[in-house]
Amino acid sequence: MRDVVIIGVGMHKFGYLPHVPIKELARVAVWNAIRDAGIEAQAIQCAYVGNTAQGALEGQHSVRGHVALRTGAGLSGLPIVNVECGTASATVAFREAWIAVGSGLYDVALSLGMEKTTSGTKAQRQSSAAGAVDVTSGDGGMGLTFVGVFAALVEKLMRQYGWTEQQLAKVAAKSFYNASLNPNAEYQQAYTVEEVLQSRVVSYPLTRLMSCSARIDGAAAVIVCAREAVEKYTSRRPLVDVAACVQRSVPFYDFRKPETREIVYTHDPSSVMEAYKIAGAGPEDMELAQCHDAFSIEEMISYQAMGFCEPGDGGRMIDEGRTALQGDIPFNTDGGLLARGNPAGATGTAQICEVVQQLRGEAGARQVRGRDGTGPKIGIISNAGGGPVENAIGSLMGVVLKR
Amino acid sequence: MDTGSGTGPEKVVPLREGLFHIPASPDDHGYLIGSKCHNCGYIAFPPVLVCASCVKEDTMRECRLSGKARLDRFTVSHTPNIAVEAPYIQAYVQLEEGPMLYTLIAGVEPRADALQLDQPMEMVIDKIRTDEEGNDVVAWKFRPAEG
Repeated sequence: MRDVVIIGVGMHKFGYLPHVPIKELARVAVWNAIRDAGIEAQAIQCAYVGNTAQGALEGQHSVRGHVALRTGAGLSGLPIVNVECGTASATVAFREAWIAVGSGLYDVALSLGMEKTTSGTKAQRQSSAAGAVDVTSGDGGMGLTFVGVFAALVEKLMRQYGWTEQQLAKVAAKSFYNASLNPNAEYQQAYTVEEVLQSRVVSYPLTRLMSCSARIDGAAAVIVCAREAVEKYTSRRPLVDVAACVQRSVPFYDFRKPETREIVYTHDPSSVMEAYKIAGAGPEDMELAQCHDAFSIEEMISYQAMGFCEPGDGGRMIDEGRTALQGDIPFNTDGGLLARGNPAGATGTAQICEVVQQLRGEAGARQVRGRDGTGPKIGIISNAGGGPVENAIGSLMGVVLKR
Repeated sequence: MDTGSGTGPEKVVPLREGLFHIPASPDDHGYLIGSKCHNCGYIAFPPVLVCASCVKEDTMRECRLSGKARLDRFTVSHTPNIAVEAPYIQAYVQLEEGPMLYTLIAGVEPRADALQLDQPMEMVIDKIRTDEEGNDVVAWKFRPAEG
């Protein structure tokens, strides 16, 4: 593999945007990334496009990325690959772009995540979301919802670890605060711990403000380049290194063994641990982190799953402020899935956009300082896609970026 | 359970084919259909075609599951769903044969104090909803075990 660097990132603001067509979301994200990279659009030699719902909601199957890039972003002729993998879709698209450039076949590759879930009917949306599990299992037809999966898990972990509703609400309030400093976030407003606790109970103990929105649109694009070829395409600096990019599917869990039950298998750490190993760094070296937090409980689970604390210590992490913007390991600095927003197919590249901006020192009011006060130099991203259930189907992602 | 047989055009239809047996008469018993590996003994529900544990070819055979389980976790959901009306309980149970599965709960009110973690549960075939043609759609549910 050749060394691969990120040269450009761009987003279309996430939010409830029923009047904005998906190809416009794609155009804005891609051209913001092209401008950010300082390249000609024609320099992009291949593209990978993540999306999960446009087939179910708009009837656009089979060639979604081709339509969005040709009629939205104006890109023609290049190879385009559609990627579908739940909330991990755009991280998988990014990984394919990294492989394409690392392999030496191309110098410059685009990964785009785009999603529009304000289209379609409520039944289509629920059916689309329920399709991210094994539909032959019958689970979706029996009222299984992702918020239900995590609510059941959090209740169990609250008993097991002594976590409190107050701590879950603190995680959410932190995310809303971070989002209020991020012009691209869905939520532009901070909520207090009390407001989070007092919002409607969706699935006990998770309230509305502990759960990401079901209707949300957005797009995020990342352009990568071979390090050895950068001079040929752009003078944009600083460059951000892709130090590790790991994808796994969910491993086999043998529930006959009692110890298996102790694994919080919704947040299997194997991809993140492998990413640390490849990057030659550990959790102690990380200066910021992004995780999959469609529900605030997931961030508390991720503190332990990503190696930042012992099992059960997530409550103390949030109480001590360690994961706030000023903490020693700021988490979900852009608001995360909960508050930046989770238009599933666009989430993965949005996470990468945020870490790149933080590493470059371009994150504005939410800029974290890093260990030595000169800005962070290395960060970890965890993402996952697909049904987080026992016969789990889906992808687990771990990405380390550094400058 | 009223199977509705012979009482009109409406009938009992399974939510999914091949996952469970619907009792054909009051004396009959419903059961879940899994698959068992004759090489390593691994049991899967829903049934799988190849054993995910030992990963040998052609070792899985259909098997009948006991329906005995323990409650692993649950939540009371307050949002109506295309499949069921709210409030309702979403739960995971672990079968005595090993598999962990999602289930709705029968026989208790949808309240947080209605169930205890790890309590013994048993499987029943029960109505999930009425479909567009007026048929009873049935699948497995679990309820607190008697005795």
